[in-house]
Amino acid sequence: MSLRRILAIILKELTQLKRDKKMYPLLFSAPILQLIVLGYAANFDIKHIPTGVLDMDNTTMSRQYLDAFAFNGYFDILYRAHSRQELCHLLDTGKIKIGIDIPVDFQKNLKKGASVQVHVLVDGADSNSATIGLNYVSIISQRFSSNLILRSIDTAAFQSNDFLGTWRREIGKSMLVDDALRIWYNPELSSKQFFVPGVICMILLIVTTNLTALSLVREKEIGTLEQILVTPVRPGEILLGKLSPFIIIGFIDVMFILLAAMIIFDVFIKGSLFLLFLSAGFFLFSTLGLGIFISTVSRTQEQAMIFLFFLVLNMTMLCGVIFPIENMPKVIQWITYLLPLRYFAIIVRGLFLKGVGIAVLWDQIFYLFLCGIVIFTLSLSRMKKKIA
Amino acid sequence: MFRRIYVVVVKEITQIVRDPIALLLMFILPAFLLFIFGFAINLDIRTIPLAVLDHDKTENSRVLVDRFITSGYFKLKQRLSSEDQINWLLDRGEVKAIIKIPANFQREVFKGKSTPVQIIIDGTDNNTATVVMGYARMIMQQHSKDVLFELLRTSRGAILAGIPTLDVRPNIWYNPELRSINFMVPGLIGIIMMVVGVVNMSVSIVREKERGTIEAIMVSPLRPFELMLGKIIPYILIAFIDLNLIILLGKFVFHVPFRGSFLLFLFLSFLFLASALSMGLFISSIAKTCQVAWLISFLATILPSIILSGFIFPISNMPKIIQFISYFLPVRYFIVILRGIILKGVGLSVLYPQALVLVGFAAVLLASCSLRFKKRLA
Repeated sequence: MSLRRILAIILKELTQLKRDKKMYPLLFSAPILQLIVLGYAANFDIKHIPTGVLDMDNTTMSRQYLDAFAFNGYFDILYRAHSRQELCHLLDTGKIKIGIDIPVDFQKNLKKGASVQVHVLVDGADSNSATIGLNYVSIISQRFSSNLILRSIDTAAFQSNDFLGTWRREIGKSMLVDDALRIWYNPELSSKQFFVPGVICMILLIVTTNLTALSLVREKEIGTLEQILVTPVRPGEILLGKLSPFIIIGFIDVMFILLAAMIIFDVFIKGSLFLLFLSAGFFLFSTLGLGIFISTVSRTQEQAMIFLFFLVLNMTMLCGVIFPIENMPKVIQWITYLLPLRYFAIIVRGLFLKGVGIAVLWDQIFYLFLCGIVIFTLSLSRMKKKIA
Repeated sequence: MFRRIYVVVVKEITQIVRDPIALLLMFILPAFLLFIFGFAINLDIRTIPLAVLDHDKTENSRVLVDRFITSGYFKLKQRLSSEDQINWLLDRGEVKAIIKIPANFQREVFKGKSTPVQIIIDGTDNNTATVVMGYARMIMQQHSKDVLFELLRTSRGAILAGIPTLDVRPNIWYNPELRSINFMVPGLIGIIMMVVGVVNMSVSIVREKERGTIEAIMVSPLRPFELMLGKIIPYILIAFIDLNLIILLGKFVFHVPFRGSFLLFLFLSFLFLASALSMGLFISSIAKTCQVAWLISFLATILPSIILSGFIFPISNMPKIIQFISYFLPVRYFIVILRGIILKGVGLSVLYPQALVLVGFAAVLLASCSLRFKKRLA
């Protein structure tokens, strides 16, 4: 091993990168674009659900019930239909996602103490939004129901000091069994808190595998790899010289996103910066290894691009960066244990959102390290065979 | 003229058939995407891992916990005995929610005092947390109401003639079992049309540019217009094969219904394809190498189409600026059409606004594209 020879290769590699102008957008604009798109747009929370109502009763009570929907921010009552058909048509045309159908005698029956059915038409096409919307409908209705009971009991009953008396004093505040929700780690439930760490993982994966694979394949394609091989530079030195610029770029990208996250998105890392860089380093073993592996199986740069596309798509979709792993089928969940991105995503989220340390994350870091070593050595031995 | 176009078509198809990568992109990728979005990614949040810390240990507290478990949304992972475990479990991510029932819960509730039950939710993944929150609140309110009824019935039954109740009868249309695959498959058709139309189209032309074969074609008696048509037609064929492939796979493997008119579906897909192909042609006139063509088509068309089009994330929640951008994505309208035809079974009488927008897009994109092409080739 000669440091001078390695340095020479690094210099050559950096010069080549500097000349290749189209790589800059990949290196710097892609992270920003992904941050913006995912941080702002990828949000399942449902507010302002377009809602239509059909109020056949049209009494004080039915209006109160509908007001409960109008005032909580989840439903926008956009249309007031006059017939069931009209309501159905609104749903068909997609103008509303939820239709509330209040029957005649709503008030009369409730005052009598009978039970009343409110039909809620839901556009189930988007299953996720429909579930969330139905939950809200149910919550509002339960609350309305409880308040009704309160009103239906005559005031005399409340003078007493027993159960009803106490409850009467409490009801204004909350339900009998009150749901005291506490959201940890991300109390405002903002999606940028969730996606910024995810984008760090994705960018590190995309940039370093892409650069490694494409630069190796390019040399192969042009035939310069043989030229370098006949020089006194040893294969190990070539590899080290070729890979270290990518490692540096990977770390620069991480720092770049960290800064962008702080300045543009107000997202700060709670845990230790050292652990972040340590695990990023371990993760780089895997990504560089994957890059080397792709370079050994593809003959042209275009082939390599397509392999990379499949790899990146797979990893980002399945490793919990965007979609939670717990919802996936068991088989897929097992597969994700083999993918280093899974561990890295857990670590980065743990550091960013939870601020946890090595005591909690040690096993994830260990698995990440293990994945890196295995992938790297396997790819390396495959490459050696190819070159020899 | 038709003969010359035909010759280009044959050449193009021969080239595609000989190129294993092109075949991979055109036929394996759609099936692969269908598998990932249909099988692996499930938006329906069920079996949320839950831990319970029950300081009360009475009938009432057990009923409450049972409600969570039998709701089908939560799965009890662990019963805790002390507060110290909460931190560890959430930090490790082993559970997503913890219910903490205070001591004297039952006694206070039966006295009529509003009693808080703490539910701690892991907010890391804001989307999951939103859903978990909704479920938890729904279950708690249900419990609260039922306890109240029970108390009223036993203590003051005489006072009330009857207890008024409000039943919500959900009537879920189009996708009654609320399966997310039904939501994904129509959208996926839009995404795959995008991939075939934009990526494959642009790369196929740029490859000729890169290798210098486009000059060879240009000195032949072929007119630019004929070259363009000859290049486009094979991709239209492939796109339609993919279309049917997804519909068939969706129907027979994933049991996604097809409720509307197939003819209308084909016709509107053709309209959309015209826009996608024009975008592909446009990119091919900018990019000099396949790599750049790939990169542009991925960053400028595929990524926004997946994230911003309403394919997965509802557009109505996005910030106004991003909503504004989404109006310029043809795939946004196409996905509405696809869901309309496939899931709702509605026809042109409902979908005409979206169809008209697609016509507009196709016209503008095709026109600007052929203008640019004429200039470049001249």
